[in-house]
Amino acid sequence: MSAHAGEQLSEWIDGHLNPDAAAQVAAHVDVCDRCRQEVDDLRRVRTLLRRVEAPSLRPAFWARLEAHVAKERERLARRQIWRRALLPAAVAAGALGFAFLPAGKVPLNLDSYLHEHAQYRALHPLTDSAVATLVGTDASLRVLRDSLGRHEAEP
Amino acid sequence: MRIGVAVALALLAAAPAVGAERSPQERWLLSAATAPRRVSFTGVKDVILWSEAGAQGSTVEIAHRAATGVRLTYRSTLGRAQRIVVDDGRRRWQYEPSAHVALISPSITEEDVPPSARRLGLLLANYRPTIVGREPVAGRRAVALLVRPRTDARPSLKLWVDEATGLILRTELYHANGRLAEASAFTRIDFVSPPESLFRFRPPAGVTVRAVAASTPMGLPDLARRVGFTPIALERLPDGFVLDRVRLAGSGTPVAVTQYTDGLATLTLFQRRVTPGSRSSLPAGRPIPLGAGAAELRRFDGANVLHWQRNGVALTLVGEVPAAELTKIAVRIGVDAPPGLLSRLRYWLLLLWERLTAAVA
Repeated sequence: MSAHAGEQLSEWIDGHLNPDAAAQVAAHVDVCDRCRQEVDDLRRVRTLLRRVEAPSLRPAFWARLEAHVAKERERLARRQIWRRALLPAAVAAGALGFAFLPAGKVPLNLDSYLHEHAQYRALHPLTDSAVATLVGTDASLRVLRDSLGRHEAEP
Repeated sequence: MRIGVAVALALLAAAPAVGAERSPQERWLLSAATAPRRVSFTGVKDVILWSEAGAQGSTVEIAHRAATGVRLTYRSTLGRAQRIVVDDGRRRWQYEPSAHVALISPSITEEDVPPSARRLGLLLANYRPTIVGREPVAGRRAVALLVRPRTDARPSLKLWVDEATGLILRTELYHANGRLAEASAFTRIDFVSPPESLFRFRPPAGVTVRAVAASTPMGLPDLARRVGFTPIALERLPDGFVLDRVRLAGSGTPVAVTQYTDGLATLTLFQRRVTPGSRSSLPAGRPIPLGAGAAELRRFDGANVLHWQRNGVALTLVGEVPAAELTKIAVRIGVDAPPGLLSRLRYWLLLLWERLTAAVA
């Protein structure tokens, strides 16, 4: 295996790969620092997820669930009828809207707003600043990448 | 400024509670709020964020020096590249090695100090903390506290506070509907002072560096002069919310920013003048009819975002409050219909398209 194992790592950890593929991934992880690190990270995240307590189910839960599923099936069946009737109308309306009328819309720079909001949240003395900083840097780095992209595209 | 935070929080801690002594749970919260100013440590923490797109996790190495600096190294995890954030109390670097980019911005400023103490006071007024047990976290004895809202439709918070130092070791933030929004927990922590060198950062050669201007704190009259219109300060807010900060942002067109909190949930209103005849749009926003006009709504990183226009000003509300609360605020302010017959027709056709495709999906 020359490239990184990527999405196969998650399936490998869960034991969902066939024996040949699992052996290939295991051999790759033995020699690839990056994939080994990713495996460690995946396992760590799963450990944390397992710490979240599962709610206990009340006795009436399954009966209510079955009733809900039956109701949902009926609703989906009704939706199928609507789908057949409305799809052509939706296509026509969309085509008219997009093709014949002027745009005139300016997209909002949402990332800079999210960055500002995340910074505000991070000031709270009790919420987790590592989480807020992660959200804030996600937004600010997207702004930077966008600006670099635009800059490179300019003549 | 760090000294200012400590003083503000110490004053809050020393102030007698109205009608009674502070309860043990309130004292734990005050201790937790001041701990980062008193305690130095190094450690490893796992963080998970739940959003519409699913769960995102990250492992972060933290070096924290009491009241002077923090270094966060987010390991490359689940498709997210490694990222380093260094804040020495004056400047903050955000560096992504794989993209060869770094951002530099001012650290949190002096003006950010009072809101920290004010938020804690608001939290105690609008939320009810209770001690729910004692559990170990990362090998340390910790007190578990649950902070529940006094009214519905607000987030709640669960904290595990280190018995010896008051530092928060684990957190779980819940949406108003009871679903987990964020979770974080130290997996390792050592109460040692990290070396000063960790808080110095110099971008490697070849890295593109960009400066990010910080938003500027100011009063509403000054803000009105800078943005060229009178920004709306929300008066009828969701229960328990107050106006907390007023700022000017935006590197091109100036943006008026007003921020509100009830002590835990936050709300930011952005207001920006738009060119006559044009219409600002929220990327991937879902059109919704509102009052006499129309707005766009979307959910992003655990927050709801509502965007609309009123009298030539584009308004955007971002907050960890239910969408219904945001739409109530927008209706009170007023919502323009899209300008011009063609734009209006196009908008309503898009709205129809949205509704039909949602029905079909």
